[in-house]
Amino acid sequence: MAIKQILVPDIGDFSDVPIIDVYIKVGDVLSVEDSVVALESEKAVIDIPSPFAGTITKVLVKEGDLVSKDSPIAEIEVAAEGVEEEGKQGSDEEPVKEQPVVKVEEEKPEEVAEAVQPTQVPQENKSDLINEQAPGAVYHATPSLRNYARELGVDLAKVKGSGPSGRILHEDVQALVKKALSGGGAAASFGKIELEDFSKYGEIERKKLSRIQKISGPHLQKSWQIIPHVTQYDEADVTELEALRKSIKEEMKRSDNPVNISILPFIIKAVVAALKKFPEMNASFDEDSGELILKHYYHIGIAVDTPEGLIVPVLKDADTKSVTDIARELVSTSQRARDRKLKPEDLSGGSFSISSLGGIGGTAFTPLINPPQVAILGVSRLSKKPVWNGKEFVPRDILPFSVAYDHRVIDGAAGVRFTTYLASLLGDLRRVLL
Amino acid sequence: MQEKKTDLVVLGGGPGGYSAAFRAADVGRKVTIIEKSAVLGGVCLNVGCIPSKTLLHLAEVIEEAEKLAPLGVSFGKPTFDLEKIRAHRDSVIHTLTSGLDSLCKARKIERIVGVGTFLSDTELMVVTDKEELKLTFEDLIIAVGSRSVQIPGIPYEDERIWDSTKALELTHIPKRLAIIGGGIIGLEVATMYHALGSKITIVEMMDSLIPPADRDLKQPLLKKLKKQYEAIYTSTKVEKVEAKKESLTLHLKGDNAPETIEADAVLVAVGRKANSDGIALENTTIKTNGRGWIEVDKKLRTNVSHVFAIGDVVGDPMLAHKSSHQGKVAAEVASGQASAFTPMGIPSVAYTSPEVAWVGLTETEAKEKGIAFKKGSFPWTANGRALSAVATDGVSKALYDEKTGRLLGAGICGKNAGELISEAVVALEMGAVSEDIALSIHPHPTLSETFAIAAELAEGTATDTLNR
Repeated sequence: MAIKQILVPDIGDFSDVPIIDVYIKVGDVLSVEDSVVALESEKAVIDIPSPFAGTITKVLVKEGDLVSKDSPIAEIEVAAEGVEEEGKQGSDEEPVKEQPVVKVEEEKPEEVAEAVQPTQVPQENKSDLINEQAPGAVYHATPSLRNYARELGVDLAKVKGSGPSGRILHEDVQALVKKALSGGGAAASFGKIELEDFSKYGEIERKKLSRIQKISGPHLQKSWQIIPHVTQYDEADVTELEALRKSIKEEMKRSDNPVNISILPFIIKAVVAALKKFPEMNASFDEDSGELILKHYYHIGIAVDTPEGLIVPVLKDADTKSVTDIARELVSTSQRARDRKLKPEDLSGGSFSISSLGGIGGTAFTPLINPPQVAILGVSRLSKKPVWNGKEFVPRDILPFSVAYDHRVIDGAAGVRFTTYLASLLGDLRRVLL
Repeated sequence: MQEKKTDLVVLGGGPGGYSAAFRAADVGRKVTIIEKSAVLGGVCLNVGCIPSKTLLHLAEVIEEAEKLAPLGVSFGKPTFDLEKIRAHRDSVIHTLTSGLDSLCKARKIERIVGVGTFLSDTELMVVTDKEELKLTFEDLIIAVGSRSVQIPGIPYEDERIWDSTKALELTHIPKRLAIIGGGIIGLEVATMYHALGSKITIVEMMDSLIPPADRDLKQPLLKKLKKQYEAIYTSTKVEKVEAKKESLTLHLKGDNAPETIEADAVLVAVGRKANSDGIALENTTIKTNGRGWIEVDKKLRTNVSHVFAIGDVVGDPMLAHKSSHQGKVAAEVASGQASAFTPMGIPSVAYTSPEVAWVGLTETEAKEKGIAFKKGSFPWTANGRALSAVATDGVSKALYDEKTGRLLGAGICGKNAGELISEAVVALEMGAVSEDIALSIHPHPTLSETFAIAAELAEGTATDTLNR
């Protein structure tokens, strides 16, 4: 028997990530890979697996603690045979750092819901804020300032002091709150909906929000409250695209490496081509400098509905990938999601998002922009519709879609030009080559 | 049993309890305070801090007068009218408790004189001398304090065995007073009875008096006590106390202690125990730790979210000024405010002669924790005001973070150290660096200058002494 420490593994480019759930308590018997805690990183909830089998002897963290790579989580008394079984674990002294995995359960990534990238917002529950000051720390806040920050719901650990010797000033807290209210930095609370006693009207029950919902909620609220959304609706005649897709699908069935091809990879290719023509759609808005940051890469976030909530894996460099590559990647992403093997980097870096609800239904909807992006495509259900071709009504495959954009940086004319162009690309995919 | 619905209940009327009640009333709560005694103020005001300071003042004046004899000013030998002294002590207490009574009344706080015990997480039974009440409450703040710890082997029924309360009653002046426990309470009682003429022997289990204070800080006091008292036995245990008709025999066990010593009275001051065991917590889900301290978070909330606990009953340090601050925080949090108890230091003061006071990190703690610091320490022998006041037994020291220069902790030993330490408390909370303190002009000549010179020493800019 030996006591080992379970450490936070390399979770990507993050530090001071909050622990949102502690699954273990002293005395728990764990197998290798059993989850010990859940972290809420910038992009996702990450379960940290135990590298050891054994009995927990000490839990060194609690909910809300901020951890980084190599922070100790718990001490575990490792059963001798367990260590042998896990011979690949290497040196006894060095706990193996397992790649963390992201909990996602998802059957069909093409059938996706409202696009929201769960993001950590540095917003504290006002009632839990303590704002204790460590003696000798780099930053310092006086007692009155600690109180002031608690009242405003500002976590002083996230404020840099601009005063002498790193003192945090009232102005520093005010600046942070101002920035939060105008969309950057930590979001302050925007008040809440008043409830009443519903039980007087009939039976009720209370259901907890999922973890991802808890994280994405403030992000959604921020998007909705800060970004002036305009949604442009349109539809594309994808009859020829569907014919092409079906013929490729047939070919694929006979190929050595078959893959089921949905319409989504084609839409992604069309979107990339449209983004190249309208670069301000593939951008972020720097409010402080008043500049638009144009991105010369095309990382497309695909919103995925999971039992835990929404998650947005990112398809990197979609411009360099073929339709079949993209199709394969979507399938593998879905598989990895099912196996809970998505890594934080699979969820970061998106420059534009697509929310496709077409697999479920609907004729049109307003997707919410996934900040700091400035636009999002929503795809609704494809259907046969009679179209007048000048002489007669002919049945055509019509795909309704909508694009929501940030009206601060994209005006209405540009918005509709983008959707019109996208519809023309979907109508005749050969134009993508132009 | 009469049942009653209440809003916010404070259980206990000591400095923590009444502060909680007053603050809660001021932020709009309907407050009920339950205290077993007919007066508010608890141990501190009635049988602790206040009566002890009243008596210590006499001790100080007696000593100051004696100090003047070699300087050419002689008074007669003091005589003591214990009845008058007790009357003065009681009048001080009465002034304060009646002040509390009127403050309580003006805030329209309901007062119940009785003993409250829990029936559940939401109900309290209160027994008064007239009736039994069942109170339901929205929020409750537990402020039931602490009591003296009793150690085995001591015939507590003998009236020559004292606790601090008994010592402050001042029934007579024993010829020989033995004190078990060399902490702050033991030493304060020693100080007052020494001035009244008792021969003092102190027995302490740890290797030093006032164990938490740094050795160099308390040195001026220890040096003086060694001369004044009959004996000080450290690292010594009292195995038992035998009550004989003519005296009390203490059986000791320690390397440098005799097997027995005789005394005419014995004070037992070996610590305080939380009163969490007298309120029927077993009827609730409120958790305590192994020492009987009620567990609370930084918002003073127990694991039952509408029940708060403050003061001695939540553990060390068991000090009135901690309790009163916690009381206000608990009242505010219970009333929806975003308060929290986040002091960077809670000052400790031993009202001995000289006084010893400290706040924040001690040097011992800093070393244990491996915190790098620079230290400034200035002995009072070089301070003009201390020399003039015949008060050179003293030292002011401060620890500053080596990197940031920020004050980590400070200690002052000397006359009025308890008053002087407040400057360090403010500096600590304000995040002052040594330079801030060194550049703040302190009046000359004062004892307070010594704290500034200690800062200059840390900075290397002192002129009143050599910078090492």
